[in-house]
Amino acid sequence: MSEQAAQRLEEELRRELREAQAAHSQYLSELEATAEASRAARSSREEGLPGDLDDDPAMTVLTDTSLPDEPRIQVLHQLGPSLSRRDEFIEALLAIVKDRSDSPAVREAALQALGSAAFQVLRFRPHQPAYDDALHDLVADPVPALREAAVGILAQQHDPVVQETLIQGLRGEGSLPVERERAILLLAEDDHLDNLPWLRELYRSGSESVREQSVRFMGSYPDARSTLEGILRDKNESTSVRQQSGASLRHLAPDRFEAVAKEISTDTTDDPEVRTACLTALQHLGDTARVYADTEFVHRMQDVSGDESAPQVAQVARELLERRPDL
Amino acid sequence: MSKPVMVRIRKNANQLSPAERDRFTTTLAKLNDQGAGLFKDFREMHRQQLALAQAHGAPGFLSWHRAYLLDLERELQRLDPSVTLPYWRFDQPAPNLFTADFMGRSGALGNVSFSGTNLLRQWQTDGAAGVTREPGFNVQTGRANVINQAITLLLGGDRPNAIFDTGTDQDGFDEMEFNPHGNAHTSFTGSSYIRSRGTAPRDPLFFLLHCNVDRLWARWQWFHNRFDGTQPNTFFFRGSATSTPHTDIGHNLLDTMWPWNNVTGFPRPDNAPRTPFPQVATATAPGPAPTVGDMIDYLGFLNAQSDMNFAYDVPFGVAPT
Repeated sequence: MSEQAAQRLEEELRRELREAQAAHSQYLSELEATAEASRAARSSREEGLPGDLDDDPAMTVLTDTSLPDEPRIQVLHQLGPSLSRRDEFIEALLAIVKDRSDSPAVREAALQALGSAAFQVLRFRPHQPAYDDALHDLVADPVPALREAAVGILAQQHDPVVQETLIQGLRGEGSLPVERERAILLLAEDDHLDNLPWLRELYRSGSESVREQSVRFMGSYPDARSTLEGILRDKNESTSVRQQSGASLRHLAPDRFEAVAKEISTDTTDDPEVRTACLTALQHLGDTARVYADTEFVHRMQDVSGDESAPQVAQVARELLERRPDL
Repeated sequence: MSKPVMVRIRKNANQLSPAERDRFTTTLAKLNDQGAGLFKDFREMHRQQLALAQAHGAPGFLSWHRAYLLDLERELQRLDPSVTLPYWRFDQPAPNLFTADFMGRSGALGNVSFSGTNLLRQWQTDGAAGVTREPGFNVQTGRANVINQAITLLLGGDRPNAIFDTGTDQDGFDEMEFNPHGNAHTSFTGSSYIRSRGTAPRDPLFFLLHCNVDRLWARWQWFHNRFDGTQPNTFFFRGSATSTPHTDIGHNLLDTMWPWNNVTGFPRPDNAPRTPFPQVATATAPGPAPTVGDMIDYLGFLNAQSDMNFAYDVPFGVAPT
């Protein structure tokens, strides 16, 4: 970058920052006005905040449930960084999330803010138990988006309470906090559980995307090996589901995948995208030396590389041949 | 003042050429090697509580992640020297990023789908295939729910715990850890891997997110001339964990950073997945056990030996005025 270009960049950045600072100052003025009105209204209702919070326009606005959503959510967006260090801010967010009488939109925004704060591991540590409690409370919350968010976070942590809730719900022994398909996939994130029966159910009943998810998670279960090979070979199944089956089969049985992938990639009647995915995996992963040592396969690749009726397959075949170690 | 540079440039992921994109995804997938490759070490470094405490919620956050990214990038470059980490500019729409040919297209219930030629189709972490990612925004036209770059660059002010001081009204550039960093993570919903600190590196998008976090720090450094870690307006806790004042271990200027320092046992984790920091022929920095402070002068403006041979597409090569 030339010095002139750098100077122009710096000037442009300074202008951008001046504008941002001016906009922020404007926002702070508006916030103060909103906070003043809030204090007055609260005073007339004989409500109040602790003294120090009452002096803080951001906290005043954030915690006033009589205000519309927008100014409260704006506090989180505009001032979240500077507020995030303060314990009372985190405590206020927890209170908002747990208050079922508060606005769902504000509660969702508060939950996102808590999630962001949770990344600050050391600073957030004192609040972690209360956050975990709040998430567990949300599993039974009347707002679907909040339930879904909490169940998703806890399921990723392999939370045993949530897992048991989902299992009971799937068995019909209790209510499910999320839709059935989502419940199955959330349980599937923990491969220590016996999820294969649920995943088979999902594959039989789901949309293409859900079927793709189900074969993705089947890749954690050796008993699914033959099912996955069958799906990979099934020319009536969608491209993406077959491709994912291939990836899952490769995880469970790389040698078997290699054999099947070689068949599919040289089958001119098969889906070009699936053939391409097989060739890409053969080319880059696993024992590539063994792949190249298979002279019959390499010979067939030479035919494939010249087949312009499947140009993408031909291209990948040419790349594979170009990478042959003996060339 | 300018300096001649031969550096590996990190670019905006949304603007990569197809060839650049494919080299990156192929190389990253090869490093993962369907769960069996070296990538699993990077996964382990960002998983358990004690490991996360080495890198989050204290002033060493930015230095640690700069080292983490550079470590990953150098491993990628062992496989393909032409590859650099791209950054996800999360305060702008990035429609080219969330495609089947790149970081994947999210479908129903968070399933991420990749094209046939995208080797990330073989991605695997923690024994499970694929990625779960549910964007909370329209990936074609929208952006993450974060403060924009200009507001981020304004962060910084006099405070006891601040590590960067611009003298402006807003406090603490390190508060960008909450927003935009934290908000970029939590702009994904449901059970998205990237949404939670313990699972985030299971999604390859995590590294592009953090590359932008590092780019923002780099830009802040350049704009405010913050390359001297011994200055209070660049870093507040300029001693070690036993100095006065000090902060949590691993977050003081002179502290070496886990795992590269191979120090284990509480308050550090019980193991060190990657040690020492990889050395390369094209740069002498950082050393095998980098300190928090070692990561600040990454362009070698103060000390040419500190040059780590990476930079961002804008700006680079020119010292601040």
